[in-house]
Amino acid sequence: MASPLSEYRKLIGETEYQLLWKLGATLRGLRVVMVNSTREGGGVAEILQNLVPLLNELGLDTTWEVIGGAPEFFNATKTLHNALHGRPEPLTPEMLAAYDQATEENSRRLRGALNRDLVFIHDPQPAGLIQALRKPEQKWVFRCHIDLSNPYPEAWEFLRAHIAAYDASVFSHPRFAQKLEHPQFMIAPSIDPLSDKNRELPDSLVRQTLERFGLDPERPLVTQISRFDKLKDPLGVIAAYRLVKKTHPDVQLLLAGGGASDDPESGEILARLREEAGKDPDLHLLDLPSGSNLEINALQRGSTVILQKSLREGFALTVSEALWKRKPVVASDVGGIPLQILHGKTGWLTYTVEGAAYYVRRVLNNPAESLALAKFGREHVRRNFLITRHLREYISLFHCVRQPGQNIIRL
Amino acid sequence: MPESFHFLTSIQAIGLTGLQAQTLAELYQGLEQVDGSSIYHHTYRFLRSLHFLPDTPRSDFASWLSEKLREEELAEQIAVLDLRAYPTLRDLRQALLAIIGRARNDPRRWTRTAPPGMEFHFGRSTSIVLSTGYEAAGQPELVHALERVDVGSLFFHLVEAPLHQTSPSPWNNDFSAWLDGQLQLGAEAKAIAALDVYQLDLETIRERMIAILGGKKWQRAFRRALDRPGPSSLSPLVRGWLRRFKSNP
Repeated sequence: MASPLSEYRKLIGETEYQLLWKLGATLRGLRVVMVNSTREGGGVAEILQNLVPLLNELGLDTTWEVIGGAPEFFNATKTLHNALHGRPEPLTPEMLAAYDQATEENSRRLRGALNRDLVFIHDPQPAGLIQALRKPEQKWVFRCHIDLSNPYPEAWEFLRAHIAAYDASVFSHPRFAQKLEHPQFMIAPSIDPLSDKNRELPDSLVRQTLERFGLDPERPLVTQISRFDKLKDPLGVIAAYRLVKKTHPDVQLLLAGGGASDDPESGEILARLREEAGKDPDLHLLDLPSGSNLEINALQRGSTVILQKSLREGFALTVSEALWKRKPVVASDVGGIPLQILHGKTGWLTYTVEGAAYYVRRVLNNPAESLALAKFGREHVRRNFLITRHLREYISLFHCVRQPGQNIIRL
Repeated sequence: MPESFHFLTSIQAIGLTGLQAQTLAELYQGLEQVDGSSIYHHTYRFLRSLHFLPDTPRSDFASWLSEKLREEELAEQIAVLDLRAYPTLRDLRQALLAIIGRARNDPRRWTRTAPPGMEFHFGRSTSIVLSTGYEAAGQPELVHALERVDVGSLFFHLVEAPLHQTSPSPWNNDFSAWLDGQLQLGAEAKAIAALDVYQLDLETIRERMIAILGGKKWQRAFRRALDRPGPSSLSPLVRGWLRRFKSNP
């Protein structure tokens, strides 16, 4: 359930709150439609569930449509997704046919719903709708939530052919920018401070949650929250923990994630981790079901240090989630992490297992320094990674798309 | 009758050019090619969005040179540029090119590459300028509004708007130009012009401007209490009263 804008007022401050209303008034009545491939599950749906009501509250007439498709279509788009992330997975003729067929069906079904001033397409699944549905008076924006820093060329060429006709593209990080004829923008994703995953929790609930999962609330806890995936380097996390354990024998490690039940690859990795963990009673592996937002919130709040030792990342909003909870964070310098962690100012950036272990020890040994970092980390997120900033940037983007080529737009 | 001062603010839409640099040579070429809005974005974004941090980073160019190319000398020279000495983005671009160009005769440095994935990506800013709703016809109203506007508005009038000026002005910011031109308050104008907006955070600048213009300390304390984010120890009644004070200029 989304929160009204007034609920954010005390978190963002009066001036930012008033600014949002003024900005909304400049586009009152603009008819916007958001389009993606799922109503629930995944970061894009999570953001839209909150942003769409907020845009409406500010006066932009915003709707949200979801495309459908046969399993073959979603298998094809999963392959496309992996290939855009850089995996060398070719798109077969059958996959291309499934994509075209689903696009045609969705175009028929959504023809009326997409007849709006501004059509905002999220990710590659609905990207092809523009071919059949674009009207000359409309603006179409392609919003890519995928790490496009090193795409498999065939996949990128496929996507480029579809998005060339758009008026603008939006990426989450400067590294994801591409050579395109139309303007490109950067808008970072955001967290919702009022959601179950991020809202304040009573200490008693945090403690109960730790105890429920067999963790000792009295001892230091190092946590990485990520799905079980090689790119999150869980084995590297265990190696770093073992180095820390040499000087801090009371430390506990928690690797908590999801997806192992319905993703064979995650299942294999979890099994490998269980093998690696052996009989260490301080090394905890948690395969959480989807929707465990309150549990994740409590586990983050109950941790002493949050790790995000990924090898590749899209944006890694888990970092902002941890910073928002005033937690010291040690994270890899990949994807969107350096936008959130300013080394030595809001947390620590690292490149190696040894580096990760060093900074975890530094946090454990220097609580006052860690507290200062956490304070600035929280402020950094408050100003730059909350959903209200996302809202402000979307409205700014709409202005840029309506008045292309301007360096200054006076409202 | 003096003209009123209209408090504007700006928000930035960040654009991506798709242009990147992996060496000093490519950074130099990029700096020659890109639009002024790109120079503006990479130099001033820290001042806008990270001004609350101690030891705020000074420039994307400096950070990249230091962290990815280990060009500490060039990085420091760019980081410590006194931006007040460059009234236009054209001037600033020339200064950046002059500094980076010093390494041109050392081919080893000039072509040394940043590690893969650590390239410099040229972005750009579009400023969306809008009214805050506050205006001032005299000094007391100016103080009243200064107590209330967002720091983005201060940044706009102190830094951004002067950079976009097409005609030369003897003042380096909008407030001084108005105080001198409309109210004939030359001393106050001069004191505000002397504030180092590149060394102090914007909240400190706000405090000092209000002090220069004779604002009351208790009013500043009220504003701070109202704008402090997060749960407040103040009762809802007091907060409601403060909010009315704030929204009813």
